[in-house]
Amino acid sequence: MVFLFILLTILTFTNTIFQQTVFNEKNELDETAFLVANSLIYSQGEPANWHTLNGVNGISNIGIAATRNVIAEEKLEKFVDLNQNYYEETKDLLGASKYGLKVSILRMQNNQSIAEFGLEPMETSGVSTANRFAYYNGEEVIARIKVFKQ
Amino acid sequence: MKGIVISMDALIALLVLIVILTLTNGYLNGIQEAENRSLLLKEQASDIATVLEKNGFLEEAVKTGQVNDIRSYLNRLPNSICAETIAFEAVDQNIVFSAVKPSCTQSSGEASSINRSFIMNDTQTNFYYARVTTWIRDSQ
Repeated sequence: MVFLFILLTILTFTNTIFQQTVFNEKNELDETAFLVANSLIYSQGEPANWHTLNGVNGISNIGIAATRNVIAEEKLEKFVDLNQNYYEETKDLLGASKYGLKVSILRMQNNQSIAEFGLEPMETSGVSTANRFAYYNGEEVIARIKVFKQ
Repeated sequence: MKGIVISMDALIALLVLIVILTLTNGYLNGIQEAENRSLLLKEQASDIATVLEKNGFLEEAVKTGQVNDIRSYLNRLPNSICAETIAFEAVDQNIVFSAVKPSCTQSSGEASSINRSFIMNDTQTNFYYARVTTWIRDSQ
């Protein structure tokens, strides 16, 4: 009887801790995707002319907006360029250092990709996606942010 | 005999405690998840209001009474997201126009709304506000 009870207790706690861990991870992924999206499409970055700097030195925050929800072409180009040599550093600046990151700017009309940053997640599970809506070069776009465990 | 009864009593009390802790934990997780979802829906509603304002669709719809552009924009949103836009006159709260994404009906689940004020300058300055509501499409 006592053994059964101890077994039940251990099983219940293990299950609870496992569920809590899975939930915390999902929650953190969701929050990170949300914050990356806000940083990108709401802010101009810090300094505002970060896109004119070499590499990532001197950049304290990355944003690709000219104004709220309006994406600046030159900032987007620089952001995509950073993918080549500064993927990790850029993720750090966006607050996603612990995770993998994929940012896609898609035409709303046909879902065609305009620009991409980052790596595609290897698996479909454990991915948090935030779809946000913006304006780029006179057309409506979707900024799709995927954050995932690496 | 008395010892066994006390032990059983303690075990049952512990069991009840564990059940309560597990249920509470599950409930709190559910709340957190719903909060995140609601926050994202709110930001998406805000995005939609900003884009409709910046591309001139709100102004156009107030001027002409035609909501085709707005409806067409809403229709291009990702499939899982539903949205509705209603514009009001700021002073007397009359509805000026209303547009909902085709194939979407108001969800029984959670929805998030934001209000955005905007100005129209024609013969005189008029104040309006747009209420954008977003919700997740009910799975079929």
